[in-house]
Amino acid sequence: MSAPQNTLDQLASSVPSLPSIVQELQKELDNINSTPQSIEAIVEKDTSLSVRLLKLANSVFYGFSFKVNTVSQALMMIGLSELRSLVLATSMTRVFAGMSSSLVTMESFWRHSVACGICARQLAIRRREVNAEQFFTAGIIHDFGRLVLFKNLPDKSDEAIKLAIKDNIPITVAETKIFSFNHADLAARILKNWKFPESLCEIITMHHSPSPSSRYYKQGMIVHVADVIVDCMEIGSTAEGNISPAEVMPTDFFQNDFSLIGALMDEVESMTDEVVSIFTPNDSKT
Amino acid sequence: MKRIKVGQLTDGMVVAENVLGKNAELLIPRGAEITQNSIRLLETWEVISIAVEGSPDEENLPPELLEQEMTQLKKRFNCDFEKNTLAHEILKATAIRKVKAKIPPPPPVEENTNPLAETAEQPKDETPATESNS
Repeated sequence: MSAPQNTLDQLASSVPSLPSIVQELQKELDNINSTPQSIEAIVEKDTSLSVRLLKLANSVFYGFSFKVNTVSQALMMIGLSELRSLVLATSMTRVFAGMSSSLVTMESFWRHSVACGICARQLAIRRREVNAEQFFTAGIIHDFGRLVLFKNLPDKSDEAIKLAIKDNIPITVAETKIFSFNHADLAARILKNWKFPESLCEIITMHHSPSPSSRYYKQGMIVHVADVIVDCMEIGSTAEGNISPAEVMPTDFFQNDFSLIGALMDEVESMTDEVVSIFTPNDSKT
Repeated sequence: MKRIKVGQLTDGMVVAENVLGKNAELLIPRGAEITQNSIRLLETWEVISIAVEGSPDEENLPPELLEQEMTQLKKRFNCDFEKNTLAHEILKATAIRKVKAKIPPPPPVEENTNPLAETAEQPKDETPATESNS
């Protein structure tokens, strides 16, 4: 047991820490004494972040009928948890810009991740979940563990994909055979190191097979369902082999109105391009 | 009930499910009739599609094409669809979209309540044209 554990820990600790501006922001966002001004001041230190924030606020995602012109306006309109998503997602693309695999491109990977984030968010809104934005973050980073594997152990990662396809097994099972742990465990470990909220870590841990005994079961299921939908629609890919839905999925998830699935798909399709372009690291010099 | 894109709505269609905005606010209640005003409202709120009364999409699509797409999609899954209704519905929704993308959209359902009126008008435009040259 100790050997694989070590590998998991080693891998988790090999991941660079988040850029200092992100750490600073995280800290401020978690600080109950923070003020809009104190957060704004941190965001404005980073030009590229400010620009992305404004682009997001003016995107189809929100559909405001007026133009959002300043950082403080954007923060007010889109909220701080959205800011957290944006910041994390942007900094993750920077940390992992050099990812390589013969089986998936970074572009396709991000497309899948962003689409999953949009899908999870729209689903959460329809289900009237509180804090729908959390699902956008969760969707965007759900396969983060795979990025780390691609970056650090590219050959074995490809091996895991091939095994999953050959034996028609879930990628998590194939990974466990090869690495003794799977990408969801790895991501959860790193996110914990990065001091992400517990709910988010838990959702990421179980995004392939939500556990009914978890207190975040419903939330985990939202991300899982979004992942399956986006996979099925083939919007980008994180190369996971065949689609493996959880064995038990709640039948009443769409309040028995399955036509909502089609509606959700329309929404995801219409929003993905724009949101992807906001999150794509075209300034990879940083 | 069927799902239809806002651009394809026509007057008189009946809304089958409450239409909610981005923040789950009620825009149009179930049972309302579509008018030009409601279409404008939906466009303003950037609603993409809504549910209206009528036979579901899959009944208007060639069943063999749908079957074909579903068989194709199933190959990409590792799933017991007999036991997993939700996964099966996701599969079906995807297949419906694929079929729709392949065939031209059906002509919008004519909402003319009085088909006779149309035929009665047609002969008119042929009558008083000729005679007057040279």
